[in-house]
Amino acid sequence: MGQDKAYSIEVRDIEVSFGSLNVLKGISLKMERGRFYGILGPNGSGKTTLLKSMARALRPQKGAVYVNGENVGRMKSRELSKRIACLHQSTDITCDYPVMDVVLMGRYPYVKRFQTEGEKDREIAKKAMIASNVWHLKDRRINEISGGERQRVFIARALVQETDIVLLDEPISHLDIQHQIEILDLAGTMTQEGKTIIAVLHDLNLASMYCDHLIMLKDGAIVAQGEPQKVLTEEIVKRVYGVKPFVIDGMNDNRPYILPVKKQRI
Amino acid sequence: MSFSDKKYRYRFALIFGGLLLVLLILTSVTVGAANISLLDTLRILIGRIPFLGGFVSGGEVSRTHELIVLNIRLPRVIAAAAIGIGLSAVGATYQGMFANPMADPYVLGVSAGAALGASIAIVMGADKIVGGFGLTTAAAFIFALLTVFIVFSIAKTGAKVSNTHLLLAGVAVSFFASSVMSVLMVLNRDKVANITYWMMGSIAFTSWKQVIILVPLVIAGTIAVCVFARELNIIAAGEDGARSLGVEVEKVKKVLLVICSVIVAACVAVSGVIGFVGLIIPHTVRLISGSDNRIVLPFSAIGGGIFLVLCDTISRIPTAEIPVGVLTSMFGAPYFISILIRSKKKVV
Ligand SMILES: Nc1ncnc2c1ncn2[C@@H]1O[C@H](COP(=O)(O)OP(=O)(O)OP(=O)(O)O)[C@@H](O)[C@H]1O
Ligand SMILES: [Mg+2]
Repeated sequence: MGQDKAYSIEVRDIEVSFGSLNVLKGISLKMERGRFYGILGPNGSGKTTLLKSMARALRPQKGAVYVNGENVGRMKSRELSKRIACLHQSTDITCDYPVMDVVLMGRYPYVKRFQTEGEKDREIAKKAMIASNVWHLKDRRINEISGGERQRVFIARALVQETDIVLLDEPISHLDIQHQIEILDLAGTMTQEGKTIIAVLHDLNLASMYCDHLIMLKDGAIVAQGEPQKVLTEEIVKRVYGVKPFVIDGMNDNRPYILPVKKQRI
Repeated sequence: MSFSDKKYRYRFALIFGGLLLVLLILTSVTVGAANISLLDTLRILIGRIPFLGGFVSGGEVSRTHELIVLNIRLPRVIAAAAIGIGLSAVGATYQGMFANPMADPYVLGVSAGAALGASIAIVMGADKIVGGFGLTTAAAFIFALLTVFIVFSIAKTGAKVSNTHLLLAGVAVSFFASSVMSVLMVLNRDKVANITYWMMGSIAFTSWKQVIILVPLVIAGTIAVCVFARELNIIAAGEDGARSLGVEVEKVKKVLLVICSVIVAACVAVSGVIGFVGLIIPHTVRLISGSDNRIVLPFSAIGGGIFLVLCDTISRIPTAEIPVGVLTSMFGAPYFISILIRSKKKVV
């Protein structure tokens, strides 16, 4: 079966179920290099499951994921981790490593057994830590910094992996507005360097502002996808989230802006 | 400070610890009921080293003393070091792998399995057969591995092994093995003393035959475990994240479980259950250095060796020897409680 190498990552008809619960019901996606994709959807709609399937943290019962035409399911672990980095949703932590060491873990696929990270790896780590604004935390312990700071440390670890594809599961959920903007700006810059960014986001307006392409999930199926203007319409938002929004058009280069409306006023 | 900043300092400290252990082993050999002077002991030991032997005049050292030093004390002290190393390395690995500070080397039922194996051998009179390679030891070793295998089979679901299932299966299978052993003891009252003594954890009668098998297993196993320290660190920072970094989490866990089980089975088979070593030594190291397994694993190993040689030496001082397992618990439990109280203060 000839896979199209034009796509950075291609999801082909994947189905995932946990026991009798069908969480993903045949999802297909084609994602191009150098673009910023946003995955949206209510809690439990299958966003994390989709991202995990792409990162092979989970094996779909049906279908497959292709990276530059190569089946992810057949790749060696190390090889895959040089192609796809993934920031997972929960970063509960029980260890007390220095932040620098946590970021350096991102070099794992590149450092051979019996070796430790060298000067080059530390240089890469430093650059990533400056980019995600955690360089000043480098000697602190990972369990003794705030949730948002920890989130940024794990983002730095994903950057250090130097992959073409970066998956981010709710990368800005624990961040204040300054750091939200900072991380999304960083993601935007990365797409300009040719990376493909795929992020699960809950903030519809930030998604609208930053993403080139949105994918709206509901109950494990794609309800709509395309550029923000096409996805964030009053009709779709209402259908997916069950709340009636007020959509303002023409803000920030024509990207829609969603205002939720109090239920009793409808 | 990150690990690589201090890499050389750690390497130096580790070499220093290793030398300390060797020195301790040599000193420990001079201690015991028979009054053999330090000088004589050294003569006996050096006399056995090829090339150097010629330089010592061994004439005035008595043959009995030589036998005591070479065939009784030396093997047991080396066994003490090896068992201390093995138990602490495994304890540290399990605590890291299960993200559970209370995991000790016996959590997966190794001790109960070994005890059952030994009891069966003792009940059948195997301990009375002199000369053969200790049948009791062999039975204990095989039953220990068998128990872990059963625990593992119960806990695994498909390709995955959940930590919680492993620990729970370990508890359940341990209780089952212990109850079978109790039945054996009730039915064979004349053997109860032997079985109880075996379980107390003693290395008083360790032979060279046992040491020759034990030491390579422990050393090779400990080194192998240390090789996985980096993976263990990454797994401890989140299993999903570890998978995305290319760590084959399930494979690493399985390999470590197999290595650890073999180490502990070998230790338990030789010495019975020696408690607390695998718990307090890794915790002490962690208290000083933090939880980086690249530090915790090797230093726990050396520290465990030192600790058990010390305990074994002390156990030989009173006229009636106290089994070393009793001593480690006597020292270890209060110390562990003090660590607990201190860490409680830190949290509150
Ligand atoms: N390991 C699992 N076992 C059983 N059910 C699961 C598992 N993981 C997820 N699910 C179920 O699959 C559905 C989708 O979960 P998923 O985590 O993908 O949702 P999500 O869209 O990421 O939600 P959120 O916005 O809350 O993060 C949920 O109903 C969840 O309960
Ligand atoms: Mg999620």
